[in-house]
Amino acid sequence: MTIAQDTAETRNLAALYLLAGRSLLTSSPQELKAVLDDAEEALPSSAREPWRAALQIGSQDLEKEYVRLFLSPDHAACLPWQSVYADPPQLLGDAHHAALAWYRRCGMEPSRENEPADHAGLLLSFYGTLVASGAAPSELALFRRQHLHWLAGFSRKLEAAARIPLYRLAAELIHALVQDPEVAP
Amino acid sequence: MTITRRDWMKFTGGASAALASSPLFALDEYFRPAVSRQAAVNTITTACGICSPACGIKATVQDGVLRFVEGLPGDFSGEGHLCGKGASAAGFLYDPDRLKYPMRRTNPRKGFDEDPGWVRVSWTEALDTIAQKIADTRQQFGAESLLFVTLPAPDMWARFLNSIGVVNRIDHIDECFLTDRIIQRYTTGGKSWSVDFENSRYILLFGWDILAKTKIVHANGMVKAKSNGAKVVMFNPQFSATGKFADEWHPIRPGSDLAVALAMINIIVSENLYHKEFVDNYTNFAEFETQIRQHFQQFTPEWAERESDVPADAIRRIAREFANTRPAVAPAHKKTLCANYANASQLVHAISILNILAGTIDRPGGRYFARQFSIPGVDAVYPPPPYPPKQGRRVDGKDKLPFVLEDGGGMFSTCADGVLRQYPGMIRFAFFNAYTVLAWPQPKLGEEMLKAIPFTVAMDFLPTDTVNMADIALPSAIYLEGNDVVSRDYSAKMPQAVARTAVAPPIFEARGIPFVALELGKRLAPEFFRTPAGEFINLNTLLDEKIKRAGLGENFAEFRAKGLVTREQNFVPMTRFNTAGGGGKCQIYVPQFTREKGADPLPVWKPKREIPTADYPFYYLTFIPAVHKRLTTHNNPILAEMFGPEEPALVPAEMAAKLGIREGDRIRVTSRVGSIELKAHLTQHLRPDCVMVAHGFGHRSRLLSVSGQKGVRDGDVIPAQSADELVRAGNFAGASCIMDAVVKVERVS
Ligand code: SF4
Repeated sequence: MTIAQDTAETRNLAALYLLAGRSLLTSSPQELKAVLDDAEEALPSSAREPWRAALQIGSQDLEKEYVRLFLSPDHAACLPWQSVYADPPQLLGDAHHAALAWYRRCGMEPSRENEPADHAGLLLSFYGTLVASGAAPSELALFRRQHLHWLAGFSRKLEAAARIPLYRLAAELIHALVQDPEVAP
Repeated sequence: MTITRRDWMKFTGGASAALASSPLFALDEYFRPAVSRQAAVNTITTACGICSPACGIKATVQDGVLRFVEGLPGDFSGEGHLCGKGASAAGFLYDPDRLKYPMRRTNPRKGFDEDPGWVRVSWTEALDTIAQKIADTRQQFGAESLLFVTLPAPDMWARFLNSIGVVNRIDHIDECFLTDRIIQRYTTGGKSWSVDFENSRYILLFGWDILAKTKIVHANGMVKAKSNGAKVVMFNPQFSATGKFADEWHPIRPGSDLAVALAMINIIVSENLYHKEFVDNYTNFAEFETQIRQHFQQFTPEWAERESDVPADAIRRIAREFANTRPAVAPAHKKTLCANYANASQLVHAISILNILAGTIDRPGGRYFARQFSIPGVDAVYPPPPYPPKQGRRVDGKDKLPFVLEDGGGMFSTCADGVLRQYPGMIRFAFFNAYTVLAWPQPKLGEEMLKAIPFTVAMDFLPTDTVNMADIALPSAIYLEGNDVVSRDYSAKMPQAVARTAVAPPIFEARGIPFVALELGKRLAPEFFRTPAGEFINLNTLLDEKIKRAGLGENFAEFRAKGLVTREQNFVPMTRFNTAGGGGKCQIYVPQFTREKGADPLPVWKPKREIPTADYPFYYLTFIPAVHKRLTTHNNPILAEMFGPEEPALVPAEMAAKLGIREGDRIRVTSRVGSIELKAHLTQHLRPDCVMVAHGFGHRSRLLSVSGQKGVRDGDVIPAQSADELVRAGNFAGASCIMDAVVKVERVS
């Protein structure tokens, strides 16, 4: 399936990007369940049940794993900001400015002030929104080139470091999306 | 303009009705309509906060993000330049490892291999929890059960600690300048950071490797001094950067500088070479002349040679040159003199006497007192009600050292011993602000201490070793994220102040320690945190008021617009000195240094604590690499690249040959308390009986991506001490002995 050929497919693909993005943005199982409801149709049938099961987790357990992986990780294994993978690694690097410019061109900006705009969750969500809004393929390709390429490596690290199924599933989903973004998993 | 979901869809090129109705695509809590546009690039004047000269900075900021820093023209400290540390500001500000949110530990087991199980909490929850813990602990176990460990802290923090009657407050100072502060209070009138290098004709350095410390203000001063024709003499076991720069270098035996200083005083006094006009008019020499002359006779250059390996003839000649080449100065700064060895109290006193005899206290070419703007603290702006009395036992044992008790700063070096051995179970709550046990001698004891204290809070900008062990971790803002006023006190012949202006708001949810002090204060002792009008103190209003009262502007905004304020005035040497009990005169003989208080009115000879034995035949030396500040900069990738992620031990080639050690071999360095293993780097620039290791490496925290688990902790072979040991050693001004160790060295097969 290629994107933007019909509404359902576009919607499905966008929903998957939003699910992937949101799984990196929140540690609330409730919030993720709501997003999953919307994305469920888009998931391959074999993945639906594992996602449902993975979200049967206590808020504190999910929060602990979220912090361990993304906010205070062992040797920065899974830090979710694109600038961290530049040389030298840093927060708020060029990728932050570039992402912010994309958002602003579309009349939006991240709600959380004082936080980097190149968070993987924001980038994936934004891309999902671009897909959903029927952005031109050239634009989508440009954004992928600028902001999604690093997520292939990131998802591998996440898969290796994750201790709970949810993040292994998220890693698989991200990997599938960014490996060949024109093809839905 | 408010952008609705419908607008958004329209703007981005349209989408199907099905999409528009989906909750997924709403502008949600993660995105909002853009309210700001790319701001122009602007320049902000601020001040470095890595080390104490606080060099002025011109910061280029783009869209709220720091892009570039450079020195501030006209600034007395940096003279328009920044050192490598200052120039690497973005590496601190945007370190990916920064603590981002307040966090609570869920794993009760503590250790560097334990996952703390952090969960985020709101600031309100964190502060409520901490306040409740303090209140409960104080009620059940008394104020003595609370321990607060900080860098010298802002006025608001001090007010908070005073308001709740904290007795166990330990500042960083005993590893830095406590000893000098105590001695100078009684000999010259106070600790001073300012040395008029450029006008000095003779600079005598006991160990202080000024150039390798790279405080720009000092390095520039030394360069100017040399170009103005000054002679520089250096005593140091290492042929250091400053040793190479000096006219004369003497490879002195570690810890024996005191012997040389005492013998020099003997020569200067017995040959009447001292600066007569200064000594007669501004010191108590005449009053105690007999005692002074008699006392120093015993310290002959020949005796000093036996203690120090510096030839007697050289000591005699240098003493005469020092006294006759005017103006001369023996600068003393921080740890080099004041914290390294158990005889530091005597050494600092002896060096102070040399400066007094040279007649250069607050004189051109000497050590002088900074001319500063007087910036009022919070207690001056909003006078507090009387603070509660400080009651309880001192965990660091400072009550056994009257001069340390009087100073109030506390001692790190005895803290772990106090918590674990002297008063086990007494400390029930600890708050560490910007401090980690890696800084302590024998940090292993510090680790055990952290495990033994039932509840600890750590506030820092990075997940340090101490943060790893904490029950609550608070993310700290750094110097580039807050507003303040910085008064210069390093190159300060006239007052100059810099507006430290935030180049960006604190990242994520970081906050400054004044915020924490105020918020905890409101919860625990609200009456101390109100203005006379009855409202809670507002930190911005407080800063405005300080600026106004200091005469720097109507408020901070006006001061910030100026950036740098200098009050042009001539340097008028002091004629009355603020010595404690000295009646306006400098004191050579300090009558307040009595035997009852564990002190001596004139400096006496004492060896360093650890002397080589058959088992531990070598001296152990440490140093801080030029590109680093203590242990706080090692996670900065640029600085890590400059020095390397790990430190080798510097091993003299002569020692290496005897021990069969080759370049790059792994060696084990062992003292009576522990051992470390690291690579050897052979050198010709070190006495053959010394081995030297860099300080600041060996962070254990796995959460530090650059410095974590790299290198060794120099302190692991340096014995911590008890307050009783300090008393027995006559270490009455509390030097922490951060380099006082002897070791054996062996190749690891
Ligand atoms: S000497 Fe370097 S680290 Fe110290 S204040 Fe100046 S620029 Fe900052």
